[in-house]
Amino acid sequence: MVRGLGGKVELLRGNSADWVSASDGAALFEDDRMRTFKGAWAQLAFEGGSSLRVAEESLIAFGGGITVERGSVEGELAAGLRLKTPTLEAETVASRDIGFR
Amino acid sequence: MRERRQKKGHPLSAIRSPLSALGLAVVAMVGSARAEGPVDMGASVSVTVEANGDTTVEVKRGDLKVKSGGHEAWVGAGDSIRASKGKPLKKVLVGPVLVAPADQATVGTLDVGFTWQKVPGASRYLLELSTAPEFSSARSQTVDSTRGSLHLDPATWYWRVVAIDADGAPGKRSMPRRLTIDTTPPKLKTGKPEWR
Repeated sequence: MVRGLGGKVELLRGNSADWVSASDGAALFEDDRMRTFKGAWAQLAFEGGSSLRVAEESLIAFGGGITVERGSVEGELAAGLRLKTPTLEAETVASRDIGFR
Repeated sequence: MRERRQKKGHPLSAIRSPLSALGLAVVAMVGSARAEGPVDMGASVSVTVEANGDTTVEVKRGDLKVKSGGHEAWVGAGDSIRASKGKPLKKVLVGPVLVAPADQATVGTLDVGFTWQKVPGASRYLLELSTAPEFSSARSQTVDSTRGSLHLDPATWYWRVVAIDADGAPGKRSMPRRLTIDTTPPKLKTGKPEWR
C-alpha cells in the first residue's frame, strides 16, 4: 500500500485504462502500475515487510513481484520478493545457507 | 559480486500471488527453513533504471541473486552491478576514497592538487568540480593516476572522483568534498605601538 507520497503520483489499475492520482493509504494490486513525475515520490509498504521509496520520474509495475521500468527505487526487500527491470531479475534470499525440507 | 552455488529447493520461484499475499508466502518460506540461529533475511537495495533499460543495482545489506541475459550472480552488501542489454553483468567500481584536500578545507592558492585512493579495476579517473553542490555545470579532468591538478577561481568548490574501468564504464562516485579557495591576503594589524 502507499505509505506516503509527495508531488504528482499516479496509478493505473490493472482493470482500467486511465491513470488516476494516487492517494496516501491506497492499496496496490497485481497488474497495477505507478508513475511518479518530476519532484514526486512515493513510499510503499508490503505485507511481507518490504518497503520501497519510489523516486521521481519512475514507472513501476506490480505483478509477480515488482518491476521497475524506469527511474529509481530504494528500500528494504523481504526475502523472496522479486524485483525486475528491463535488463535483469533479482531476488533476495537468506544471507546464510539454508536447507529446505 | 560473487558466484555462489544455487540454493537447493528454493521455493520462491512459485510466488505468483496478489501483493497482499506476498508476505504470507515469505513467512511460509521462513517457516520451512532449517537453520541454526537467527537468519538475516532480505536485503536493502537501490535500483536505478535508465531510459535505455540499463540497470544499476546497489546492495547495502543482505544478498541479492541477480539474473541477466543468461548470467547469474550474487551481489553482496557493499557491491553494485550493472546490467545492460546484450552484455554480461558487470560489477560497478566502488567510489574512490578521497584523500586531499580535506573536506571543508580552505586553501590560499589557485592551483590546487587533488588526491584519492586507488580503486581496483580502474584504468582512469574522472575528477569533477563545481561551485554547486549538485554538480551542475561541472568542470572535469580525466587522469590515469590517483592525483589531479586544476587552476581554479577563488570560490567555494565541490569536488568528487569517479573511477572508470577499461571498457569506459564509470563506477560509483566518491562522496563529495567542499573546498574553499581564498586568496585574500591576511590583514595587517596597524596602529601605534604601545611602549611599556
